[in-house]
Amino acid sequence: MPLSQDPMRYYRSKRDQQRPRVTDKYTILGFISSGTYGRVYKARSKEGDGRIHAIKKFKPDKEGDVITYTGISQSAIREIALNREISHENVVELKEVILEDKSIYMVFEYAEHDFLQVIHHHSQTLRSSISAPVLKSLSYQLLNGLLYLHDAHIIHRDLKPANILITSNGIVKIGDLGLARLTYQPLQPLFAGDKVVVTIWYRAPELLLGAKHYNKSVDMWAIGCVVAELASLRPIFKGEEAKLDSKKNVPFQKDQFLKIIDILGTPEEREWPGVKDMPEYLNMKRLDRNDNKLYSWCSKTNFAHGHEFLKQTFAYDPDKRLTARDALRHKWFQEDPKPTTK
Amino acid sequence: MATDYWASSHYKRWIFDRATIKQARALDLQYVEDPEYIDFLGIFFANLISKLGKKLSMRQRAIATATVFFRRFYMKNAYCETDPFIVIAACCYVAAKAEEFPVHIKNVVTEARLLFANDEYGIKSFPSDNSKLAEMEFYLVDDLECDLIAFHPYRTLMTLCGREGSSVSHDTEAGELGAGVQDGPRYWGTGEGKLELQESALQMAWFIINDTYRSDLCLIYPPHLIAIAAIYLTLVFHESTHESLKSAQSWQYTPFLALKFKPS
Repeated sequence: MPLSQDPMRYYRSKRDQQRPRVTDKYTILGFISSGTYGRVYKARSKEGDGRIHAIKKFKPDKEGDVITYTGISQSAIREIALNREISHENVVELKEVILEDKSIYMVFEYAEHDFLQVIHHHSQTLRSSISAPVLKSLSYQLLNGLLYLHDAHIIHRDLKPANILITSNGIVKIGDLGLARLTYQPLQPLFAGDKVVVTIWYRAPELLLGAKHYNKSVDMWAIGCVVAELASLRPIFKGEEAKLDSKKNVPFQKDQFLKIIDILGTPEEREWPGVKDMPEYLNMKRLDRNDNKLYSWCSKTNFAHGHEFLKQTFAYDPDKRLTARDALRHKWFQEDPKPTTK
Repeated sequence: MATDYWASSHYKRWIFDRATIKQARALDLQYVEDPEYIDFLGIFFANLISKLGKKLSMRQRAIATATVFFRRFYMKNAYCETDPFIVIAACCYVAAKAEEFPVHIKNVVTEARLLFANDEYGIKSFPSDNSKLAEMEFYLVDDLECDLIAFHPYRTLMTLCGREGSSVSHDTEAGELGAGVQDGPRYWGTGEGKLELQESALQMAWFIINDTYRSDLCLIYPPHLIAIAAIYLTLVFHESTHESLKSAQSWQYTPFLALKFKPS
């Protein structure tokens, strides 16, 4: 092609020569997981101490069989942009990003396990619950990482056991910022960007009721679900997801809401004045009424000591829900049994 | 604009001194008779970014981010070795995404082709193929070292004038200068007062900030300093503000000291 038709050819070949290749710097050891975004590999660094990393490779776009450039996805842009700004012991650290052959590789520090594995290990292999001191330690570190994100105006929007990692030394690391976003002075309301956020079992009631405006407190609801799951070793609100209809409208998630009401009772206007303004309020009113049974759920689970903490994390009114900062100061963490490191 | 400015990629990696900026233009300087022409090019391209951004209905902050990306890209590259027109389009495309107000790649291609092909610019070679723009995006993000969050003076201006946060009150705290912090430590001021500027003076300060993107200032100074300089210039140039400052008996020789902070 003559230069006049592609004036950037010289630039690209110069860059292609300078850019280190993934395989120059890392030895791929194996495959960890895959998702809609692409795949995650385990890799050893060829430099320095040969540290282990997790490399997230975003799926390249294809037209037929030919890999082509179609534009970097919003979620990849987000995850890259946010990770470049943050650094905290309880958030998975991005080491570098390598762009190569139309694919994006994000190199993260490696954590051996995630909360889902911890829960499985206790429920399937050990057949015993996670001890209270360990449970508190995991919760505390998780909240510590979340407070850092929230102070940086980042809502995670997809907290769930599979996204919360833990190293062999017991350090908790929040991962996967693919749905996260900045909330500082948004140019458009949050719901305009993403119609559905948070995996259904961990989705806050205001989101289930179709709220257009929401904030950090959706993460705290998810934290409550995660802590409850660590305590009982199964999801506390395990609803069936109603699928989008043919016009991609989001239906009322009736079953999920019923699961919440089963334990927490029907939301009352006096505890959550804003509930009557929710788009799905009338759908909610049609459900059978229920009383709050959280305390008996906690007792059955041998988790009575965490009742007060869960109660505040599961406040229906987002404005009354415990914040990450207040949660870290909660007396649950000061009481016996005190948190420990794993 | 994730955390505070001092911990940001903007401060840590993208603030340069004038000598470094001059060095980045070394190759281009071989092709111009007068070094000032290089500055004119900077103005020309910044205007073009602004025009394309407006065609794409991008907000001012996203246009500013696109301009910052463009200037950062040319800290590592030369005008004479690249095609600034496709770089401009890619800067707008990425900035819109980074500011969470995405525009479709097809729209960027269409609008860029239309704008660049008109008589004023006469660039008929802009590719009609989306994948060429997407390819440029890929290389651009790499050259930007994936640092896609930029701080801007608008925020400091609006914070000082007490104009921000009303619509999203419970989610706007902390920022550069510690503006509007509700929880956590404050680094600056008490947050009790605000700067009283007439509406038209505020406009002027805003426009001065817009104009700063036509120069290298965004590569040299932290955004809050640019904002304060813009306010200072407004106090000098905005006639009725200037008059009222002069008539106030004290401080009349130093408009800067006359910034009036009154409890709100």
